[in-house]
Amino acid sequence: MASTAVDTHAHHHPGLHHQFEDIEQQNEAYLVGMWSFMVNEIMFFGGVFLVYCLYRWRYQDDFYAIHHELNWKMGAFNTTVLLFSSFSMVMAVHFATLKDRMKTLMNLALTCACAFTFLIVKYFEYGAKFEHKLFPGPNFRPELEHLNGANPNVAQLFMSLYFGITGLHALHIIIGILIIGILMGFWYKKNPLVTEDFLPTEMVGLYWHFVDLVWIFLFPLFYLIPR
Amino acid sequence: MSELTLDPHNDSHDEHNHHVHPVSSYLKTLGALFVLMVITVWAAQIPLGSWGNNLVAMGIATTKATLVVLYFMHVRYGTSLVKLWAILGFLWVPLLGFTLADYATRQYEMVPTWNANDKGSALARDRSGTVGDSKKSMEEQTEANVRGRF
Repeated sequence: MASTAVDTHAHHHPGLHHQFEDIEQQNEAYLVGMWSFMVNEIMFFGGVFLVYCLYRWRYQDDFYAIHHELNWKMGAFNTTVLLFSSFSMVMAVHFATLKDRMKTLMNLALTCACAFTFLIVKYFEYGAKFEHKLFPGPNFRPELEHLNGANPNVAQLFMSLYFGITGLHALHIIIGILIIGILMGFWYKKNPLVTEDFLPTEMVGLYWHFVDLVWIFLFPLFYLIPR
Repeated sequence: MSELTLDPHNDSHDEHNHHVHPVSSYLKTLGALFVLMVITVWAAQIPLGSWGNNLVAMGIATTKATLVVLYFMHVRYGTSLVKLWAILGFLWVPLLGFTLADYATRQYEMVPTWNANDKGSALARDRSGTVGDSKKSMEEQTEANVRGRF
């Protein structure tokens, strides 16, 4: 009925599935679906941030003291890497809309390289914490110099939050590498699912930007605690 | 390649490639994100009081997040429904702040092993003997707390 009123050209979009009226409707359905998933993620991380806020509020002085154990230079480097990876991801989406396969693949590879760089830096950061016996649990026995005057119980609480929240974030990075890898496989094999429709690439991009968003808040909350 | 120069502000829904945005907008966003990151590191060194520093840091983080959501996640060019979803999602985080009202307006409640003078006393104490403020046993502390209360 409505089909005659709509621009018929839209109906011939190769990526259009039969249950949708036109490509605009399909795109919106895809995007709203992806945003629904991300609202879940925001609720999940929101709860985690609430726990952080409560303890930070209660033990501000000890959090300030123990946060010196985190290397803000490594944190800032990782922030730069993630911000850049968001840019390369959005460029991949850009070239996906232009159906430029090689440039899409190159930008996706660059995003993956940034993700690996982030994890390698994180590996060295975590390694230093283990070395200083700052990992929470039965082996939490740091020397006094690594407590910076913080109460040991609160220092352990801080480290629990640090490992818990950055660990969850790192898990999202690892999942991101997997789905970007799968997307690259599709592009490499010229799968029409991604070459004829940019939306799958856009949705992987949305996920990746979300991971970046979480880190934008994690960086000041853990590495730049004011006195 | 003409899509590259397409101005997103003049988009109409008749245009098939209205989702193609100029690379320059992405570059500007990236530049702004880097500048804001440098400012947030720099501002953290300046004593503005704990509230001042926190507000500056979270203000900058929120600005960065908004830039990412609007330009990298294309919400600015999205349909009304996508905008609504994004706004509702992020509205959740400030709403969570109401939970803090409880903690702001009440005293922490006493539990048997809780000692107001021992920070982090909700954690198990004296597990290692090398760390922890107190060498007292749990029973002694409980007794001390109960004596303190009555």
